[in-house]
Amino acid sequence: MRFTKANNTAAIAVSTLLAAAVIFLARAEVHDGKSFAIEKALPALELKENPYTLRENWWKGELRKGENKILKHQLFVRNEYWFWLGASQRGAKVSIHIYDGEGKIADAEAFQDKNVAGVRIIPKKSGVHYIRIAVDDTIIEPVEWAVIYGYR
Amino acid sequence: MRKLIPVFALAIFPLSFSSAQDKSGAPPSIDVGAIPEASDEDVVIPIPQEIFNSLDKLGVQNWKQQVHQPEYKLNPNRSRTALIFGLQISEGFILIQAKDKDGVTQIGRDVIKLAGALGVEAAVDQHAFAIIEGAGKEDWASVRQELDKTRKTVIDTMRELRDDSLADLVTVGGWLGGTRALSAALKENYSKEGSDLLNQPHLLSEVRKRYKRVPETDKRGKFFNELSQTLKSLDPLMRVNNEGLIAEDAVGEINQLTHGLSDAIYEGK
Repeated sequence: MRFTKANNTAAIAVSTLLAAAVIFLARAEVHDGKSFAIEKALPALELKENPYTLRENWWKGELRKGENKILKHQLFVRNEYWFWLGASQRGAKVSIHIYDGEGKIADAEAFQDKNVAGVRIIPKKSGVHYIRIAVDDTIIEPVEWAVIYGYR
Repeated sequence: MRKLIPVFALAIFPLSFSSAQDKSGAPPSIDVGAIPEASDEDVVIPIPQEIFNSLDKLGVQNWKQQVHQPEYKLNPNRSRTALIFGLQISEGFILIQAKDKDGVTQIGRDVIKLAGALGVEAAVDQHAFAIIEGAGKEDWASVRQELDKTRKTVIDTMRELRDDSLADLVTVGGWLGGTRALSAALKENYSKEGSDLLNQPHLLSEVRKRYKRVPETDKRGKFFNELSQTLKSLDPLMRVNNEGLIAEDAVGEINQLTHGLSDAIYEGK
């Protein structure tokens, strides 16, 4: 009986350690697309005056050539936002644009630089906005993408 | 080590775009009616700081007055602890706005205590210490970032541990705390422009969705009845009226509801 208890305790301990290890490894996640996006975002995040604050939450997924995806997101008037899209595959060409609650394009500024793209918006109203991301070209499929954003 | 991307239904679909495209190749408009429901992974809930940041641009706010930290005692009800965790993170953002060094330090300590009660202390300890250290140096930008990290880490860890209900309740508590403080600030200093920030039907619907999927067995305590009722009652209040604003009396009502509910959760009755 004692032996069984000891075995059970050991099994629980091992399971706990394994679970902790899985969580640790999961947390150490590296997403190349996100890294590319952050690299592009750095100048805005490191402005000496009024830098953008990067949110910890981000979006990710996969798309094929010619596909697009819409992300809904609540924005607040008087704030200014930058959204950066990065693809893990260097050869991919991606784009990102933003639309207001009525579906009209609302980009204040946008750029496309191979596997990274960005869009800035100064919302006219608080409310849901639509971020459209697309993979315009790629050789390797599917394209892993990540979107990060900052506000000020 | 690359984490496997969770398999979820990507909402990839052909939208009926206007045929014309601008110079960048972007369609000038999209049909918002054709956009399907977003999956969970596609919804990012804004943090209170994003909203407070906008409100501050309308003039100096008395954030000290909006701090609401009643005494509370933890009990074995983990669902309540998760709600309090969310509320306390929101309070942290308010205390940062108020530049309250001692208050933020206390939030750092509370984070450790609450994370311990939820069994996720190992994941958030480093962030909690960074909050305390940042508060000591009055480095508000870094404290803000650490609070956001804490919130995300707790929610991610809960999901990894298959404690989805608790993760959802942290989100609900966080949104509730932010809405309470925002409505309190607007009630004290009402303006049409400021009231626009409470126009959150989409966010409220996401919060209600998360709350609804928490199993009834995890909703222990009378305050859960109040929570269900409050989320319903807020729905018509948190959308602009015919004049395109949230009226002053609606702001007052939002504040009364969210304040009462926060108290009920802290009291645990």
